[in-house]
Amino acid sequence: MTVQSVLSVAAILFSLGLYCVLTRKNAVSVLMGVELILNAANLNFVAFSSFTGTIGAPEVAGRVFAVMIIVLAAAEAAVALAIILAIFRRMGTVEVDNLNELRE
Amino acid sequence: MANEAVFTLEPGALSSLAPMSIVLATAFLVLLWDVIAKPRDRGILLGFSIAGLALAAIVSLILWSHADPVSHTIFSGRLAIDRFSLFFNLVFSVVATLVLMISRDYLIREQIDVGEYYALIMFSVFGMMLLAAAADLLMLFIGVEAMSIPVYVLVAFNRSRIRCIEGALKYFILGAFATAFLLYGIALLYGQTGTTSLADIHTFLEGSSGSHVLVPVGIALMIVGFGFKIGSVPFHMWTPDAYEGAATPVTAIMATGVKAAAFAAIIRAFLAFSPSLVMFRVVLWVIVALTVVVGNIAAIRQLNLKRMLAYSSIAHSGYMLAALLAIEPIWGPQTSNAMSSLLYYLLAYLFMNIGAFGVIVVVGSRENEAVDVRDWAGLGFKYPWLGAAMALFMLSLGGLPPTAGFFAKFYLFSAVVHAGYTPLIILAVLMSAASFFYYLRVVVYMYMQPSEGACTPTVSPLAAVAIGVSALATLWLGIAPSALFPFLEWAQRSVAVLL
Repeated sequence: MTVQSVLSVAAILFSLGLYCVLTRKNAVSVLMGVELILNAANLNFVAFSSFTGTIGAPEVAGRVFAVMIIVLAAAEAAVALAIILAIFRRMGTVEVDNLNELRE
Repeated sequence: MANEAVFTLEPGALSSLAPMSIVLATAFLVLLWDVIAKPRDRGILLGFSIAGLALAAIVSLILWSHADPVSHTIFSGRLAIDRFSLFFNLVFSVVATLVLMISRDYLIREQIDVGEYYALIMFSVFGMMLLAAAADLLMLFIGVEAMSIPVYVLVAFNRSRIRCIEGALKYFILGAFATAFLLYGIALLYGQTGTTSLADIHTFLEGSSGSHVLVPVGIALMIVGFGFKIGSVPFHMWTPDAYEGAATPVTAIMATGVKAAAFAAIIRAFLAFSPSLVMFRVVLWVIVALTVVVGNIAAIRQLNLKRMLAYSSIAHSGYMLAALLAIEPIWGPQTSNAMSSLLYYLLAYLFMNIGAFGVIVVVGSRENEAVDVRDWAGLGFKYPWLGAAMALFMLSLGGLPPTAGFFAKFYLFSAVVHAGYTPLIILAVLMSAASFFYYLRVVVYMYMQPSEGACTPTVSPLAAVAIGVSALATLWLGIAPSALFPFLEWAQRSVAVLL
């Protein structure tokens, strides 16, 4: 397995996440798209970290970064779900299209 | 083992963290205190938060006078406690204090006066301070998140209003997008350079022949991420919605503190990338031109004051981004001038925006938020001081002498012209002339329309002090602009030495 193959998978994940965020109408799906992009970056970090270090002395910075991303993505998701829940309570739906109070 | 732990705690590392620790400790204490305090004692929490911010500012000043004039990094180069970050610590303390002062009335009026509000502001300020001190992309990422996550909650704070939660969701998606792009960019940069330290990346880029394909892609993705964060065109789509939906004091901190912290991080990152920035000149040029034009043109149509200020803050981001064009591959007087003028612009921008949002807060009431400019008709005669303050902030935002806004634009534009971007600055000057149309519209409504405005301002002493301080600062920065220069000089010079 080469670093290129891992990077390709990450790039595909990134594109899927982007597509998901831009096209999905459901707020929870949008959140899932964001998570996909974050995890694509995560995969990159781990891949670079494994392939740049030497055996026995891996480059650790990338792995530390990946752990930080996991923690902060969880915090972000918690806040996002709370916001989505508040929207559901008020409107009974989580469709992004129904949110049009704020317009020009 | 070649890879044994090289982590050592530098002498004085923990004490140079004091401003951040104080802010964080205040936030936790406010949270604890809120549980035991009686509802009518909430004023104490406000006082306590402001005391914490004041203490952080004083400690920053002490550190400033003791600071190694060169640079001081702690935690193996992760954080830079230099005069640049201390300067921003002071700025954030002042900004947060002013915002807290204008928040109080709003919170009571909307019946959301709970301790979490103060704690969240403090958590966010901690993130801003961390972001301004980040000398490593990991710290930059953590700072961005520590700053943004509390702000997502703050935007949604007024849950009873549907506009607030809609704004919160939009702001969250924007912010999450920004983070995601930023991270992907950082990952690619890390892959090519093998390091996340800004200083090491700078060294790598200086020595590289330019054949590394991942570096430009990484920097481009980071520009997109930062672009979302500061609301530059074409990444601005939901910025006005989020600004309009949020409670007005929260909008104030989004437009000022968050933006200033993002610019602090941008300055550090772009200086580190300076050897490779040449290839992004065209992209940056286009982004600046689009941001300035779209921000100003869109603001002209807005009768909603918060939306107007949102577009105006987009336009101001454009002006400030222009200063980044003047960054040379190697640090020189041109870069130095541009950075000084950018810091000055940020300072002026902060005071006039907080002031303007402060006036909007006190003019509004629970029934009528008074964000429609037509509600302001005749306000200037009924409330001369409020009217005068708002007129001052509007003229300063437009850039009329002798206000801070004029000198900020003057220094920034001349620094960029010296770098050889005259056509771009001509466009920016034309657009800022156009901006008078919508800034002066507020003044015209206040002073030249029959008094039929529906708004009933209630000015508490606290809010009056905050607006007064902003107004004085806006005037003072305009009348004696040179007083600050040594200060800014030190701040920007220390950020260069880090590289």
